Amino acid sequence: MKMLRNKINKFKEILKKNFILLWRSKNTVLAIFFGPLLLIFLLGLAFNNTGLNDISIACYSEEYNELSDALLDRLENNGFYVIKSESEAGCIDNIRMGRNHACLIIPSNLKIKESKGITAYVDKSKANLAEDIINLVSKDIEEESSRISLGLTEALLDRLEHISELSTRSSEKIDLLTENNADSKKMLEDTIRDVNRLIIIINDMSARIKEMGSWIKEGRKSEELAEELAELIDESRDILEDAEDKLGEGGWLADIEEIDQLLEEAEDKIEKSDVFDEEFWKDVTSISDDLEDKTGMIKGILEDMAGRLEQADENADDDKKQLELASTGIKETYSKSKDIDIRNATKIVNPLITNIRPVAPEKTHLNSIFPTLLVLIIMFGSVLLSSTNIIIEKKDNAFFRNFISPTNRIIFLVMRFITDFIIILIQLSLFIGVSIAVFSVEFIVNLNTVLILGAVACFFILLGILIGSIFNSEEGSILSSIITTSAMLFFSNTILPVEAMSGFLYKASQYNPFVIAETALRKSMIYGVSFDKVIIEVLLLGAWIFLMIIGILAANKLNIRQTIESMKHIIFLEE
Amino acid sequence: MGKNDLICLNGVRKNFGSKAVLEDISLEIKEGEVIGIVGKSGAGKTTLLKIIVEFLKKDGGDISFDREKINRSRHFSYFGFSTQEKSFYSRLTVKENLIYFASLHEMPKANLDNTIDNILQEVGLQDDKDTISSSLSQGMQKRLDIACSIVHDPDILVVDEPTADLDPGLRKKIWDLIRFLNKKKGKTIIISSHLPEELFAVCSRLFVLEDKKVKPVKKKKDMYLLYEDAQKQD
Repeated sequence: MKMLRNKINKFKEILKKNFILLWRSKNTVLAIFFGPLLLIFLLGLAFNNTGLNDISIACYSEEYNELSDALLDRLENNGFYVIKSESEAGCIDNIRMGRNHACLIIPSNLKIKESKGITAYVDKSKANLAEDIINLVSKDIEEESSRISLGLTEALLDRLEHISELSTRSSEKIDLLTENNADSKKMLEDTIRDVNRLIIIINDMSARIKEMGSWIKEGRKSEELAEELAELIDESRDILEDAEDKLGEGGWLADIEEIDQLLEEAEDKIEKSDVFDEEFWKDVTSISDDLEDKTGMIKGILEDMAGRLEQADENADDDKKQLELASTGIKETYSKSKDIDIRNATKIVNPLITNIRPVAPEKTHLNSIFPTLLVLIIMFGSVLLSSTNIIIEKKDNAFFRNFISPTNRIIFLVMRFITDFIIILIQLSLFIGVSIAVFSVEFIVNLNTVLILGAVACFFILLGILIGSIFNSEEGSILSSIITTSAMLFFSNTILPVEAMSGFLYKASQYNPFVIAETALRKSMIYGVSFDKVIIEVLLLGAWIFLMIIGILAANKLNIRQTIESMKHIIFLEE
Repeated sequence: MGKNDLICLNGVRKNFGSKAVLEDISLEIKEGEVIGIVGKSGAGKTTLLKIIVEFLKKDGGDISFDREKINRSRHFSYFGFSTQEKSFYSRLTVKENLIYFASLHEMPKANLDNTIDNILQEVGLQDDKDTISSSLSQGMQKRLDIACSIVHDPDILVVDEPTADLDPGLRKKIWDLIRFLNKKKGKTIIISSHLPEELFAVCSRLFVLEDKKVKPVKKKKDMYLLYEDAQKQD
């Protein structure tokens, strides 16, 4: 019990010695405790906001017009500084020289139907900023593009509606035309029938006239024949009258009148003649010959007319088919235009509504990067502090007396670890306290967060002790600390996303303690996940801590002879 | 090993790289003695001292200890070593240094204050116990270093160049302290110095370290003959 008390007292005295030595170096105290305060104040003032500020966009177009000016106005209204460059080369050069953040090359006299789009140049060496600028500028151009698309789509929909109405009216008219066509065809068919009947009758009449004429020429000249002739003339005159009515206006009217006159002349002759002598039959024969000629002519005309009417009938059939086709086409057009369900221009321009929401409530940059900041502070602070302290201890004159005491070297390292852990805790408390009190940083504080922060601090302090154990000079220790921490920083999400790394290195980066720590803290502080969701990260950190301990033990065993040989007052005990 | 021998060296060698620093070192240290090792600067005196207490690894020969008096498991507790470079924390006070080094040897806290006060009295620093060590004078710093070496009450005190860079007045104080520790506290003391007259006055036996070997010195005259160069240098 007494021995245990003495041992505990030893640990306390070593710890006390560490803190007294620290406290009596005022500059060190200043750096250790005011450093984080200064850092959080600067970071808070710089990043306790949202969005990007003072982004300047250069632009160039051979000829600006209303559309390109509208786009540039939109960019200015959204907080960008827009500067028109004198030339395309000058615009691009401005980015290289760092005068502007992006350059837009707009086609001359920008048109909606322009196949050559707007080209944006950014400086990809400023990777994070470039992505943000591209997103912001693209968003503005997209919005302007959507606005124009909306207008065009609305105009298109209006025309579609108009076409739909026209189709309806045209369809009605075509239906009417089709009816008229049917009526006309019926009339044509009736007329053709009548003409054909007339032709038959005139053929018959002509045949009888011819027969009569041949009877007269044969010498059959009698009163009965004169009576038959009178009847024939009477019938013929009726037929002519009927034909005149049916055929209406036309060139044949004169021929019909001529025939009628001849028939009337013949009728008069017959009615007025008491004697049917040779002179009578000579006159009648002459009239008969004229009638034959005329009826032949009428027949020709009628046949020609029948032909033309039949042609017209055929044309009416063709017209009917074309009208039916036109009607079908217009009805189809109408039907298809009515089949378009979406009549809202906004829904056509943006058919898929995307709502991009952050996983966590959107807050300031400082809030978003807070877990990363914590890991950075712990990493740099712990590694440099603990490695430097180990070297200072080795170089101190008192190291000799420590070494030749019965106290195991490991006890000194453990006490150094505890001292540095307490210092880091104080630094973190100051950093977190000011973040919450002054900059209203919000995050979830629970057992997970405390455990993870503790594990992260443990790892990086042990890493610093390992580096200090390996090297015997300040420059070697500091340089190695910087290289090691920088490597962890570069192979993390802080500079570029780890997804940008090639295959093997990407997989290896998943085991980077910085990445593990950042991931675990982000899950715990921002999303407030339960312990089982971070257990893998905690176990990985635990594995790294174990490796550090093994490394420290090995380094102390292997390096001790080197340390002794390099320090004249350092001694080595042979077991 | 002889009857009263605490430590016995036999043919001990030490090299630093390819360079031989010590060759065929043989000597015995008896309990209660004050052994002096004199030699020029760079002769290997400090190295020999560190080998004697097994702080440095030898490259040949034997070192034996009276394990009845020097327990192997607590070997370092039997030795106190006062270095030329003054091995204590310059930013701690005199008392803080003593408390700290006493705790490393797991000394009970109960009597520690008394023990420290006594030691400070012995070394003449009782009025400076709350003084920051770096602000002490050279002589006081040397006394503090000796105090740190004896705070855990070792049986054997090894003092490397106790009076280096000190004026004659301070040297006398140191030698008086050493005599006190030997005569009154019964400590076996091993001292190294490049000043033979002072050693001769204090030590019960003297050795000269020259040409990587130690040679015992019985008479002052022999010491001066063997150590002519050292006199001229001094």
